[in-house]
Amino acid sequence: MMLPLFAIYPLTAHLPAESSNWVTTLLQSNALNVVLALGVLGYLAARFKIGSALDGRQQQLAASVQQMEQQKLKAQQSLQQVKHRSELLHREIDQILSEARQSADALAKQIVQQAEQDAERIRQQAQAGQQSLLAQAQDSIQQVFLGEVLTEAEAALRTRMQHVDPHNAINQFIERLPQTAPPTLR
Amino acid sequence: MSFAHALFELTQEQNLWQALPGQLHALASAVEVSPELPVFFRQPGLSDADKTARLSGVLADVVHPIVVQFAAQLMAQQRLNELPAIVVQYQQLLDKAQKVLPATVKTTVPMTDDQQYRLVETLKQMTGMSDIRLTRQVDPDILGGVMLTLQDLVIDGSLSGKLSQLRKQWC
Repeated sequence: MMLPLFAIYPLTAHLPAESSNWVTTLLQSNALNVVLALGVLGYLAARFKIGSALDGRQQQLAASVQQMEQQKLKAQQSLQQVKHRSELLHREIDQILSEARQSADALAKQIVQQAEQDAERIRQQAQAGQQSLLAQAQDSIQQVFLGEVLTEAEAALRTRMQHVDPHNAINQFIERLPQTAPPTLR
Repeated sequence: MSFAHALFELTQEQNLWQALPGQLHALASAVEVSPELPVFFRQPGLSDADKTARLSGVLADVVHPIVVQFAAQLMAQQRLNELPAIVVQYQQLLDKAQKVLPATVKTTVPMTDDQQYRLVETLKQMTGMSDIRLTRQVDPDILGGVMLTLQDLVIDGSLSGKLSQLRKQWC
């Protein structure tokens, strides 16, 4: 119980002499000592309690800060991963686009080639058809012409034969018969 | 054995080469031009004996008894309408046995006897046959020349044939 008194005693050195004396007087009073001691004790207890609370709070804060830093680190790592995947995706999309462009070019080229071939084939067919039609027409004209010629020749022959002895032709036929017949007749 | 072969053997056995073929041809022609004749002899109202008697009555004075008997046999079997075909087959057998070749000659005017003789002789020499049985036809449509048919062989020396040939070549 005396410790608080001794603790606050040096304070009295800074007080005015009258006050110092008065305090000294007071200090010399037991009742006051008790009250003072209690007060000091209360003060010390409160201070100790606050200090403890502050320490705990500081530790919590430190832990929180550490946790936040870890979370920040994780977030940074996640961000890096996202960036990396994003780059990969971009590359993949570029590749797909490139391939699609190449495929489209090849397809377009193929379609054009096919169309050109079809056009050439149709042109040749048309040309062949035209030539065939022309040939048919020529044949038809020729046939009609020759048919007419032969009909005229037949009519001329009929007329001419009226003035010719038909026995001459029979005699000539008999004279020109072959000397030997095919084996099937012998 | 067919009817034709039976007739051919009878012809050979009884030496009827001259008479029988001509009479058979005449009867076949009568059947051909009168299709009602076989129908008449198939009448159900007449007995076979009546039919035979009637046929014999008609034919007895004009044809050899073998021909009458043969016709009666065909009538009994209701095959009188087959007579023309049988006679054709019979004639083929005769021709083969006698080395005779049937030939058909087509001209625009009738051939003279001399032409016919020369043609037959030429064909005999050509084919090596004993004789040529020539059937003559007059056909103005051949325009001129001769068309000769020897079985499957056709020798076309007609003007119409030459025109047809030209038509085939050109048209």
